[in-house]
This record gives sequence, C-alpha cells and structure tokens, in this order.
Amino acid sequence: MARSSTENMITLMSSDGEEFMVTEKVARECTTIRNMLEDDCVITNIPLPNVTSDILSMVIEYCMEHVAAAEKAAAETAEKGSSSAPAAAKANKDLEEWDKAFMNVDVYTLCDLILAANYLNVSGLLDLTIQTAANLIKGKSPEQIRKTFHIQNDLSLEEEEKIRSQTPWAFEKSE
Amino acid sequence: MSYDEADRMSTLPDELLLHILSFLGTKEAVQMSLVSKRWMHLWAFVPCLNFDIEEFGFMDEPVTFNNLVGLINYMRDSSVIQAKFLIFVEMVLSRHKSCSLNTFQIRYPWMPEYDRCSDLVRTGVRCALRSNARGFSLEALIPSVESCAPIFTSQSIEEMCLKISTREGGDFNAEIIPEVVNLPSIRVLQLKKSMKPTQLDETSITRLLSGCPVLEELFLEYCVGKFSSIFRQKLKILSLYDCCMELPHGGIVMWKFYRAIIKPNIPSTVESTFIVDFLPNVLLHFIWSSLDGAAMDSASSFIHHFIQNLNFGNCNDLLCGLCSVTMLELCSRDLKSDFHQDHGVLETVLPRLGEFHNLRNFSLSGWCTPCNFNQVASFLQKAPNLENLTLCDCGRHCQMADPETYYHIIWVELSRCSKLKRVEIKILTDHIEAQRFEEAWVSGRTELENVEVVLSEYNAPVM
Repeated sequence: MARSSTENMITLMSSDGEEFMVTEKVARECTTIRNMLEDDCVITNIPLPNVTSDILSMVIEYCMEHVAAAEKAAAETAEKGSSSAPAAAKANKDLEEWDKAFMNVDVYTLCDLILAANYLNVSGLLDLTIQTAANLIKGKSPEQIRKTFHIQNDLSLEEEEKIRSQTPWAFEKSE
Repeated sequence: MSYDEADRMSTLPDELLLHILSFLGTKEAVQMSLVSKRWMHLWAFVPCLNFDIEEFGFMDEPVTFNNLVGLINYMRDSSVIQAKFLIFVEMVLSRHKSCSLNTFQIRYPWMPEYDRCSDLVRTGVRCALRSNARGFSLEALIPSVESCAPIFTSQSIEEMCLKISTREGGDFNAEIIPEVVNLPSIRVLQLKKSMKPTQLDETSITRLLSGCPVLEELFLEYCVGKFSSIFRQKLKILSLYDCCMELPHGGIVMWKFYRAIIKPNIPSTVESTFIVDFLPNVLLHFIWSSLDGAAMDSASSFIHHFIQNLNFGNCNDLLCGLCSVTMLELCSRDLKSDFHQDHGVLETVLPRLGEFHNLRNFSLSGWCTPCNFNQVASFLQKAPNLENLTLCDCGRHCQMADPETYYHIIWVELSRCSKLKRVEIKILTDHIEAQRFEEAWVSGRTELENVEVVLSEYNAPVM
C-alpha cells in the first residue's frame, strides 16, 4: 500500500503489548478509533486492551483491503468522470471474493473477530462475521450446530420436552 | 479441553448472539433453543422477525400435475403447511418479548385459505405497529388490501417492501394505496412485482407521496396506469421496472428499466431503457420533458441507454434532445419485416443531428451499412469522443453488387475517429450473402492503430 509521507501514522497496541503502525485512514475504518481521534486529534498511540495481536492484525488487514478498494474506485471515478458499471461490478465481486477467503477461519477465531469488530465498531466486518456465523447455523440440526461450535448440551430431557411442546412445528424437518 | 475445541460462541454477549439470530429465518432462530441453555430463551428477544412459509416446506415454484391425484395431494399438503405456518406465527408473536423490532418480514406467496390469510396479515401488521418496527416486508396473496391498510399509518417504519396480490380487482390488483397514508419516517418504499399488475393513478401517487414527507427512494415494479407525475416528485432515487405508463396526452410508454439517481452537488444520472411503439410528437415531448424534470440539470453526465422500436419518422426531435448522452443504441424497425419499410427515414434523421459531444458508445442495428454508410459517416464526425462502435448489419435488402468497395470506404471513415478503441461488426446469420459480406469486411479492412476489431454473427431479434 502506498503511504504518502504527509499521512498521519497511528500506533495501535494490542492487549498483549504488540504495536501496529497504520495510516490514520485505515485506523478511521474503526468507528471507535475515529471517535477517539475526533475527540483528541493529537493522539497517536491507542491501546486496545480488548483485542489480541493475532486478531488485531486480521482486523487491520480487513480495513486496509477495504480502504484500498475504496481508493481505487474513487480514483477511477475521478479519472473517467463517471464510474463504468461493469468495472464497478467487477471490483465489488473481487472484494466479495476477498471477504469470502478472509472468512475462511475456525469458529474460535470467528467469534473473536465478531467481538473485535463489535468493540472497534467496524460495521462492514461485523456484518461479514455475523453473516458467516449465521451461515454456519443455517440448515443444520441442533446436534450439528453443537458440533460445529463445540457447544455442550446442558439441557435436561424435561427441558427439551418442554421446548418442543411449547413451540409446535418449529422442529419438524422441512423437505 | 484444547483451544480449538472450546465453546467460544456461548461466551459472546446476548446482543451479538441476537445479532446472529436476526440473520436467520425465525423458524431457525426458534430451533436454536434446542441447542443449549444459553440459547434456550434467546429467540424471544431477536429484533428481526422473518416468517417464510418456504421454511415449512412450501414449494414456490409452479407445480405441474400429471393427474388429479397429484393435484389433490398438492392441495392437501399445502393446507397442512399453511396450518402449521399459521400456528407457528401465532405462537412466536404471542411469546416474543422484544418491544422494538428492526424488521418484520412475512412471506407466503400462496395460501389456499384466503380468510386465514387476512387474519395473519392483520396480526402481522398489528405486531409491526405495536413493536415500532423500522422495516416491514410483506409478500402475500390477500383478499383485499384492507387487511394491511393500517401499516400505511406507521410512525416508525423507515423501509417498506410490499409484494402483494389481491383477490379483488380482476386482472389487476385492487387499489393498493389506502385512503389514509401517513408514514412520517419512511425513506425507502418498494412495490414489487406480484402475480398481477398493480394499478396506479395520479391521485393514488399524490396521496402516497404527500403522506411520505421524507421518502428518498421509490421502487415500482409491474405497475400500470397514469402515474407520470412520479417524475415531478423530489426523490433521490426513482426506479421503474416493467412499468407501463399511460401519458397525459395519450400514448403508452413501457419502461423496461428506468433509474434516476439525484445527488446534491454532483451531476445526476439517469439510466433507462424504454420501448415505445408508435411515437406521436406530443408523446415525444412528454418523454423528453419528463426526463428533463428528473435529471437534466447537468447534461454532461446524463447516461441514457436507449433502445427503441419506433417509427423513425418521429424520432428526429427525440434524437436531437439526446445530444448529451454517453451511450446510444438505435434499432431501426426494418428487422421486423421482410421489406424495407422505413427506407430513407433514418438516413434523413442522422445527418440532421447536432454534435454528440459526450457520446462514447454507439450501436446501430437493423440498418444496412453498405447502402447507407454516408449517413453513418457524417454522424461519426459529430461524435468526436466515440470509443465503442457496434454496427449490426442487416443488409437483408441490400442489392449491393460490390460490397468490397463500400466496406473499404467505411474503413477509411473509421480511421478518422481519433478516440475509437473498439469496433464490432455483427452480421445477420440468416442473411443470404452473409459469407460474402464477411469476406468483404475483412478484405476491405485497413489496419487501424489501437483499435480492436471484432467480427461476429447475430440472430434477428424476436420483436
């Protein structure tokens, strides 16, 4: 990624003390950080006690990719006067593909990313991770869902029976 | 327990788990209660309700029946599905505890029992109103719009999508816009294509829009009637798909696609494809002035995708008015018939046009290039920024003894278009002399620098 010398750099510090230098533009993708910068514009070092270094590096990777894509689209629009629909559609598709590949993570990491996206308020990443989690649930039986997310079944037989009787037709497998 | 076998999901706060549930259909959200204690009661607080009869095994696709038994079975199954669906919806609505909803969606495109449909719609509308839903979406077949009329008085709804068919109204849906419309928060409204076309008229449009003071985006699909005043409304995005519009002075225009995006401070864009068969002058002026009203403040970025199937005798004014477009597709009518019906009309129109300074893409079909290339050549001179040229050669009536000479002239003309990047020549496949024409194109060809040349065949479109 091209970095102009005039661009402000911000240091983000993960919970385990690792430091990440990013451009202000990338940092601003996180609404939480954007608000901090707007409150105090001279801040250059931001500790993020809720995010570990491996998760933070992934969040930064996501933000950088999306900032780069937005810049590319803006540059094309400025050059041609108007953006051509097929080119924009292709760029969108490329970004979607990138997102899809980016979401190829284990469920533990996925949950950590959801928490981080929520804490840092990166709306695009939050939607992406939540949607990915929902897709892992869709079409699965309760047993399969437990297996996917390593959830322990702590319901007693009586509780299970009660749930089934109170919510008629919800558990029938639809063909 | 090893790291990757830990249950991280259950440690997420309720808010995030509810967010995940809101991406599922309501049936699936309820099913999550059987997973563990953590999930047992969560569904009752999910901020989005999304009831879809397909989750109960309903088949949306048209079913064909080989025999009466098949039909009877289908009806019986559908009845059972409907009964289950209704019980489920009732149960969820009675036990749902969230006092405010983000979205409320209900989808059952077909049901055998109309009266119960009405009840369901009433219950759903009541729930959406009571829980101050911000989004509302309904796809249903109902006896009349009366059951969903109260939704048009919601104070909270910001986005609404209706895809409804009414039993009343014969071949059309009965009046969908109720007498009272008061939607003070609505920003996006979509009326989507249902089984029958929806009739709109000037009064229903006026009533609708005066009741939606902050509406920004309106999407109309499969609507018919006199509602051309829609172009005079202050909307940020207006889209029309498959809409058939009667014009004030007579005539009908079929909008295959129309989309206007108006943004403050930057030039607006309009993209549209419409079909007009027989175009009297009043109609022309009307179309032109309606486009004008929508987005012609800034001519430079007006994108107009124009396919016409019209009598060229009347298109002079329209074409002159399109001088700021970036894309123009013209199709002469003679593809339709076996004789050159409108011979001479386009030839008189094309040379009379003014400069098309913004034109980048130009396509001409149903046109005999060898016979009428002079007119194309003079038009090309008026389009100094042309980048893509497509010529669909009809040539069906062409008696040209020596096409090679003419194609050679064409190549010379094309070499004068300085911005040209791509030329595509399409030759009609059933053209008696397609082979000879193709050869003529190739042999007459002069190498053009930086221009991509594509030669292809095409079938006559069905009109």
